[in-house]
Amino acid sequence: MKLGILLTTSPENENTHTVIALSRAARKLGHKVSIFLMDDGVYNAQKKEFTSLLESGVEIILCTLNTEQRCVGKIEGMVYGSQYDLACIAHESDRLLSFG
Amino acid sequence: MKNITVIVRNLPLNTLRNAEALRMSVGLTLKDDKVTVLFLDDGVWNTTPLDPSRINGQSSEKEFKILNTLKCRLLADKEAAQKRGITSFISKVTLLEKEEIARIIADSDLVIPY
Repeated sequence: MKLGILLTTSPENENTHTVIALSRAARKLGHKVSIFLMDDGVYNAQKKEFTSLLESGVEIILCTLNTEQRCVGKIEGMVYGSQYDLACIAHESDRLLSFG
Repeated sequence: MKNITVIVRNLPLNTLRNAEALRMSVGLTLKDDKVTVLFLDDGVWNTTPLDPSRINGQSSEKEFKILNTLKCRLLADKEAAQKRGITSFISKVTLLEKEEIARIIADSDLVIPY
């Protein structure tokens, strides 16, 4: 199953912990996980625990416009995309969860 | 083609989230999915004529125009609008009863509360 996750809140929100735990569990079960970060959600790219999801095979895409607005630097392994990428995730995922 | 419903519930002037929700709604049309924006609770204020530039805010007029052009449905909770005395709308917004709103949500493949 392909699981899509939209995260729009910054790392101090409990959503971050939930998304990390849920993504790890889904990957353990063999599901494909794609996370799209936008709005204040792009700040999660600066959190080490969050970026470690890349090692477990989670795809992480950021809204480039929001990263530029918030001066979030580039992190290796993450995809700097656009709203088109979210449209692709929404279109192709079997389930989409929104954390906002 | 998927039916995607985006739900907007926040007041318009104290956050940029509503403008982002509308920008996202426009983006979600890029894969030819059918996008509906549903304004509930205080979110109905977003459909009224506002001038966010007075408080250095971001106007969503452009997104409303694009969503109209793309024939995306813009729906608002009739009860919430009436309760707040809202009678003028900036765009082609359809007011719906709760039962119709529940039907639209039930018929959606994806519901994104923003």
